[in-house]
Amino acid sequence: MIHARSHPSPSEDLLQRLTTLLALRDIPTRILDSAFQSLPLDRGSSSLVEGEQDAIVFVLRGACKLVAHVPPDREQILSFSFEGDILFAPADGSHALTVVAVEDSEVLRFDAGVLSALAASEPKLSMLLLERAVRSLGRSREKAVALGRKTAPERVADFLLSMAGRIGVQEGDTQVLILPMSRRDIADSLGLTIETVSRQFGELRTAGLIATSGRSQVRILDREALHARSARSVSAGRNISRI
Amino acid sequence: MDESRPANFCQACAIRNRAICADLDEREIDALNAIGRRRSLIAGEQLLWEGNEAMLVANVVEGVLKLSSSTADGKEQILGLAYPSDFLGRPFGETTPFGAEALTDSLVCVFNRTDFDRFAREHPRLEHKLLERTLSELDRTRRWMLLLGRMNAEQRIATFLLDLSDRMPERGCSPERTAEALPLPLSRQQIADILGLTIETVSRQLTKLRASAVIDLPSRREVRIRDRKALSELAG
Repeated sequence: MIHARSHPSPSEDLLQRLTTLLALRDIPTRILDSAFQSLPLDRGSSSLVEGEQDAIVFVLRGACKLVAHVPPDREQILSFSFEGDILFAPADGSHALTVVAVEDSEVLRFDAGVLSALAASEPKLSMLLLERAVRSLGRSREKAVALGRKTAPERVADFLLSMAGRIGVQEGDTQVLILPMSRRDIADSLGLTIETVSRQFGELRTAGLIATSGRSQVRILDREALHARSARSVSAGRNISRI
Repeated sequence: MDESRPANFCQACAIRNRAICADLDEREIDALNAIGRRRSLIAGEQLLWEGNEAMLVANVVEGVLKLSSSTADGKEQILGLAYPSDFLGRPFGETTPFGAEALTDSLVCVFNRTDFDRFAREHPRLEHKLLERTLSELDRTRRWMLLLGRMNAEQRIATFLLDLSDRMPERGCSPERTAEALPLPLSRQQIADILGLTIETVSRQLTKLRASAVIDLPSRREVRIRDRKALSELAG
């Protein structure tokens, strides 16, 4: 199921937005010009990233999930990506991977080999890719710990803290998140059922740690208590400020 | 712990063509060699401590190490194994994101992290290798995530054995890799801990794979993959 439309070159404007978003202004956009494919993704539409080449996907707008399909019929959401994020999608993974938009999104897909060759002569781009890759790796490891060792309440608290760090907006003493993904996505990402996720949100509300409004807004009222509940490892959330 | 710096240990290094230093020229190798040193670890010795200030990074030259992270209440989750030519530690970060412990007697070459960071920034070819390494590590960690989140015992064991056979360095020059017995660097209990299974389940699954002629177990510490295709199918 590929709904993505591919445009050959409204490129200059897109690349300008990309370099602005990533604070790479001094990189001449023309060097990137030939290497990318622009994919507007409507909410729920998907783009198969697995193919001959590794892909590096920049999220210009919106939010996406990277989904792995495990036979016979199970799915695991490996990661969520938001505006300004870089998503690394390997070609030779043993499981089919799909990028699915969780809200209307715009992404730029680069062939990893081509981009990485360009980066060789652009130290800033090279450093950016390396730092983002290291950051993605750190998050994946945290997630592996959560899936392997954490209880449902710990996983949900951990998820909210991680999202707060990525898309939270400070408002006075509280942090507000607009979660673009569904409860089902959260469940598929945390290896829980939707019922468990909803129950945990309910418990956190009752305990006064969060307040919710509608399907998507979460206000974090007591960050410390949420942290205590998340059983985050000693290294979690460190190292982030530098990059 | 034995530390030594012979004239240039890189010259005879067994992993020289596969590690992050593979693309460097002779002069660059000399410069990297000058800031590194070799270190032997005995089985059970810790090289990196999670959460500590990131003082060093390392290449695995020989042996197998386990990477792990613990939850706040002390439950350990193994994040994967590091084999010869793998890179350990976190470049450009101030704390070490996982612990690394030698499962077998091992040899590593270690660098002070700040020296290494500086060297990487000045040598794009190394930085490039580091990016490649990080991306393959990301891929492996995601597969690990799938294993922990979605796989049953049989899929876990099959995935583990395939990974082991892909990543353990070849011994000798037998062209028939499938016919060769792989050293199993871990005990049944260690395999169980790594895969989040009980030791009974690990033994039962291995016995089952042997009974169906997918693998052979010549000794407690060896495994031979007889039918790689079948094993891949079981892995899912």
